[in-house]
Amino acid sequence: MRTLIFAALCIVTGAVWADTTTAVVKVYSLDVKERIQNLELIDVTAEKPVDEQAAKLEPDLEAILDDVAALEEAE
Amino acid sequence: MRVTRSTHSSDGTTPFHCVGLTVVLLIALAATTAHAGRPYPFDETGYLGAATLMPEWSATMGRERAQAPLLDACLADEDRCPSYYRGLRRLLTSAATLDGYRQISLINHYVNRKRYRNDRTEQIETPLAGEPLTYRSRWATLEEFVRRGGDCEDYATTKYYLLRRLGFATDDLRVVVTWDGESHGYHAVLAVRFDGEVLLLESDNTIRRGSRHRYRFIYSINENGIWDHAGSQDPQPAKETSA
Repeated sequence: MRTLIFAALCIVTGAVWADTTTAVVKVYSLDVKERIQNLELIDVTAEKPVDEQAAKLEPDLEAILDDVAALEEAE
Repeated sequence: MRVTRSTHSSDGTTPFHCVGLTVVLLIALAATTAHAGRPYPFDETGYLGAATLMPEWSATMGRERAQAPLLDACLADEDRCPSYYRGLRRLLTSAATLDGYRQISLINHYVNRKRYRNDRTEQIETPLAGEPLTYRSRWATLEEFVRRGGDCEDYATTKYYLLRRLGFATDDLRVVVTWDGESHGYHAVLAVRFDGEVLLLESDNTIRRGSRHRYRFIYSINENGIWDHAGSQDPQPAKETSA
C-alpha cells in the first residue's frame, strides 16, 4: 500500500513539474515570437547623403565603377 | 651652503598645476567621446533564433535563392546575362581579383551610388493588435535592388548579398538595424567582421570602425539568425518612426 501511495505521489509530482516546465517554455516561445514580430515592424527608411569627408575610392576602383555605370546606363 | 628643497619647478609649475591639467584633459577626452557609441557586439549575445522566425526576411531569402541561378549563369557566360545584370557581372568579376578590404570598399561605393527609393508600404493585420496598420515594406533581393533601387535596409542587404557572392562567410556579415541618435530615425548598416575588426558599412560611403558611430543597435540578421540588442545598451529610442 505504501509503495502504491509513494508511486502515486511520484506521478503527481512529476506531472506538476512537467506542466510547469512546459508552461515556462511556452511563455518563452511567445515572448521571442512577439519580440521578433515587433522588430520586423520597425520602419527603416533613413536616407543618408554621401559624406564628402568619407575616404575617396582609389582610382582603379573608381574606374571599375565607371565601367559598371556605363554598362548599366546602356541597359 | 644650505640647499632648500622646493616643490616648485624651475618654470613655476606645481603639482596642483599638474592635477588641474590632468582634470582638464580628462574632461576634454570625455567630451570628445560623449557621442561615441559602443562597438557592435559581433558575438552570440542576444541570439533570438533562426532567421526563419522572421517571416518577411525569410521570404526574401527564399526569393534570393530562387533568383540566384540567373546571376550564376550570367557570371559563367556573358551571353546569358539579362541586360540589367551586365554591370553587376563586370563589378563581381573585377572585384574577385581584389583583396578583402578593397572588395568591401568597392561594394560599399557601388551600392551607395544606386537610386534611393522609399519602400512601398502595405496594409496588413498585425498579429498583436488585430488592427490594420501601415506595415514596413519587404526586404529587396539583389535582383530587385539592381532593377529598382531601394532604401537604407536594401542598401545594407545588397552589400550583404554581394559580399557573400565574393566569398565572405555568412558568420562574418550581419545586417544591423540601428537607432540613429543624430537623425532620430531607424537606419540599417552592414556589419562586416574583417581582419580582427568590425566594420560598419554606411550608405554615406563611410566605413566606421569600433565605437565611431552614434548608433544604438536594435537587432541584426543574416541568413542564419536574429540577434536582439535591446537591453544591452543605454538609452531607449525616443519613438519608433522613420527618419
